[in-house]
Amino acid sequence: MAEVKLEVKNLTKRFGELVAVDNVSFEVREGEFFSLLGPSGCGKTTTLRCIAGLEIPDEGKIFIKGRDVTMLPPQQRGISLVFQEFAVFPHMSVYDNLAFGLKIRGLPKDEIRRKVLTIAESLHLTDYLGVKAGKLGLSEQQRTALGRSIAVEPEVLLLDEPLTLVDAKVKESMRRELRRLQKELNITILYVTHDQLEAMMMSDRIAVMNAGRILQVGSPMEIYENPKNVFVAKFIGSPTINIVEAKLEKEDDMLKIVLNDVKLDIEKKLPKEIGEKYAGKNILIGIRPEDLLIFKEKSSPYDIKCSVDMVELTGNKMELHLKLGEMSIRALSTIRFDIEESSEIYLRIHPEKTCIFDRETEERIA
Amino acid sequence: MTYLEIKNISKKYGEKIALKNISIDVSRGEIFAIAGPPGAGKTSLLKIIAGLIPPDEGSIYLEGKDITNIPPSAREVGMFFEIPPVYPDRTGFENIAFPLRLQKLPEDEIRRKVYEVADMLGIRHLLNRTPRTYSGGEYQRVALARVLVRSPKLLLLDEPLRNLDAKIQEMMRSWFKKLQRELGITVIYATHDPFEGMAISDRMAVLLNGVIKQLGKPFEVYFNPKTLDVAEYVSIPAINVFEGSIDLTDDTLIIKIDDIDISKKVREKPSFLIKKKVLVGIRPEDVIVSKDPKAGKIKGKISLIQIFGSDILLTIDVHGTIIRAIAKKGLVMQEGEQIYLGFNEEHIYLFDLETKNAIYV
Amino acid sequence: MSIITRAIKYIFIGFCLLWVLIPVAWIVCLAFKPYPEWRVAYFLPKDPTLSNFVILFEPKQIIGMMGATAIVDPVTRPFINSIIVVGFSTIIAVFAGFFTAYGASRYNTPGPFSLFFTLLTRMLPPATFVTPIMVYYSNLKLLDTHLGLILLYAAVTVTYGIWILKGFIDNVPREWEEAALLEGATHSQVIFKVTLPLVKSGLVVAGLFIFLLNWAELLFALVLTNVNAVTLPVHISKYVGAVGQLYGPQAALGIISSLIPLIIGYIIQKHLVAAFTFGMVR
Repeated sequence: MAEVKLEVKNLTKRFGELVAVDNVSFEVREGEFFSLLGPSGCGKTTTLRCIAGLEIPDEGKIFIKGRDVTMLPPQQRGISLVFQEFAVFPHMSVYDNLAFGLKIRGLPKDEIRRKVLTIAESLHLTDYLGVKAGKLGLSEQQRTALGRSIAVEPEVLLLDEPLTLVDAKVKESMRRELRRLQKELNITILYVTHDQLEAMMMSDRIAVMNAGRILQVGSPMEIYENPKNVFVAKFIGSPTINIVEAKLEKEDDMLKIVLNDVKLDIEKKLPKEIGEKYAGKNILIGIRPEDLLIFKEKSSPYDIKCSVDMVELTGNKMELHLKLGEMSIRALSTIRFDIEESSEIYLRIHPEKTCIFDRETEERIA
Repeated sequence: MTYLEIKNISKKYGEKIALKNISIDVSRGEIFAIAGPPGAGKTSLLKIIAGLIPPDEGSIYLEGKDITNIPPSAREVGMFFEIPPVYPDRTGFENIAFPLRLQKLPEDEIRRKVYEVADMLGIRHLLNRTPRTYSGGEYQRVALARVLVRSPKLLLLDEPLRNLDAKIQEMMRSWFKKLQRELGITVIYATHDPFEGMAISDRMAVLLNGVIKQLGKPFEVYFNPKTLDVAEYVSIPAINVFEGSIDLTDDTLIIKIDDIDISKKVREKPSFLIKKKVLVGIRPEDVIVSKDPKAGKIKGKISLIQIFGSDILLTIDVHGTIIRAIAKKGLVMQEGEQIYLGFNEEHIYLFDLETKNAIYV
Repeated sequence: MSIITRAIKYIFIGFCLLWVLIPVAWIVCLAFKPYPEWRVAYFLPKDPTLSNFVILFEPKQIIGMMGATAIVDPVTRPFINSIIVVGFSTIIAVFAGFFTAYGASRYNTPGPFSLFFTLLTRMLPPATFVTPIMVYYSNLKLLDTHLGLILLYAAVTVTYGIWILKGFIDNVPREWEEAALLEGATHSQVIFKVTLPLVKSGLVVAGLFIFLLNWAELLFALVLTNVNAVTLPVHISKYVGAVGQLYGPQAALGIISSLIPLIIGYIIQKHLVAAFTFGMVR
């Protein structure tokens, strides 16, 4: 079992009336890529800043490799921080940039050289070592900034939305590169982002945050398949999960969900006690667009009729905006030419692929 | 009649060519996307259409009228900038009313127009508040209201969703497309994200280094890229590109990459291709992955597994060559495992080694 | 941080504070001390009085050391002169600074017209050109006039206006001005209706800074004024030196002349805060 590199316990930070971070606790193990994921203003950056030492929390403690660093200044914590702007020293060569932190620590010259060359190779910067950083392209500059943070071998590497300002194509390749590098060098990373696609792509585990609180922690697959509540279900996955209201009915001793005259058999899914508790009541169903099947004709009693509002092409898939009575539903389908705007199609939902939430609390019940 | 005609627009900044011979026809009520990486020239082109920058060559016609030399305020073109003007110390109402006040319209007409636009965009509740209290999406909508309040003939959008959270971008994109359908306003939409361009537009142009490399419906651009750089640009995750050569046997084209043979059925025998060296492009989604050795001839080792939306992105090492593939969720794999690859031969793209133009078979 | 380090830090800070504040406290107390207490060693006056302030407003003859005398006018005239001269020159410097900064920010001006050269006025010690100015003013009949001082003060301090405002103008995204052009504004409307309102805080900061500089300006005022346009610093100087015994009134004068900048600073502090947070772009 890998050791715990970073432990955050009951962290709370207030700014006047606003509670930016509300009793946040989690731990990051050695070699793990851990993401704090949430919308702007959810407290993820403030949490990161407390861990970095740029803010002092009001309550709670932070431990790095077992050491209580809560009140220590950033230089004494054993962390490195990479910002959105990927700062490099433009007037220094790439070599000097990478060596910077090591020189400050007073390491012997040959050791510095050894470390810098190793990192440059991992980051494909060996050819640029003599070049002034200011003259490099964006991609090389980012890698230099990253290299500088890694060179000092921090216990934990902190990254604050580093890819937000980068364009779509470069983002995709950097997400692969960063993950590869992290695994190769076994770096422990705490990563902050608002982009769930990004967190899912790179992380070993994700903590989903909102309004200062952590709502769920788990591996990407766990969070995707077993969201604890509506917020997490909606935040993870693109296009956003469909959440519709339906009625849980008891018919002939079988529990069914009623959605626009179509009854879905979910007996197997729901444990008996929960079924009893919610029978006759309205519940929320979550179904992901990619789990909906589209048909031109009704071929089973479970197919629901919808009209096509809009079609958006995304690469080799089609995003369909459908209307079911008053409700808007999104479906993801492969490219087909028989579906046009303003036509009608039939949807099939597999009961096993649905999530069921309590309508009031929005917590998951099945 | 073509609603907007952009003819042979060129622009240089000193020695650097920003735009070269750009020609686009846009129909009324269309959303036309201009997609290209940062620095391709999208903003320059939009500013030229708006009249903020003069072109070196070429002309622009709006509804048949030559507007090339007309000052920006008289063109009836609205532009939504990447950092849109929303003055922080004035209310939403004052911000939206600003352009109307410049025109010195009577107060009650200003009021009427501002409320009309606010209702259209669903932002009545923001009129009394200042921008400091707005969320990201609200800010964009107020900025959009400010542009629409003058009822422009043409709407230019320069990466309008750039500064928004990913989730909100998704929502705003669909919202905007619906709005455009309702209003019927003609839109030119610039973006660095090829998928955003494809999702939102009726037709799109791929702009690379100041030149339009391809123009057409999103479907065409994606499935029939004319050049290698277009194919590379519109593919996320990045398309796999290899050097290969061609052999022909009867009706099958055999593409040789290193020691891998891919066969592709062809209708006619393009004899000029035999033994010719080509560049082969295969998208990750067209690489078929299986654990069954019989399913694919190519053997590789999985070096990285990443979740990509609702699918899985694999980085595979085949004798030192990196191949990216997309697999469906449900296939249980581990990093370091052996995997077998096949290709969807319908979507294998061939490009001339020198010109990088697509070769059709 | 250990207790000792912390103690040393606080002691050091305390010492610095006392170093700065004690003289101020002394002067404030001195202003209210009657004549017998002018040379005492304690702070608070035992018999506080306003007589020092009253004296300032009466014309009088002052007998200095070695029998030298000086006639000192009431402080009202110099006070008003200062307000007029410094007020107008500040306004001119700020607006001239704004327009120059606008040009520098939005347009590339290389060579002899570059921004660097606006610093030249500040590189020469003022004493070097006070004599030539005096000669010019004599010919132009600007000696001892309000206008003369206003023009000179504005010319010398406009540099600060330019440098402060350029930073603020740079912070207004160029796209906002371009958007205004599309919204139907002419170029001058863009400057006055878009850029100027958005750099309000900058105008205030520059204004305060320039005001303070000019308010305390002595050299030019001393040389270029005589009776009509005498400013407050010149007036104060008459109490010093040969007439150095009038400590009480001097202290009172110090307080009065600090009053205006203090009041102005208090009124505009909201803008100062806004200026330093640059809350412009979302």
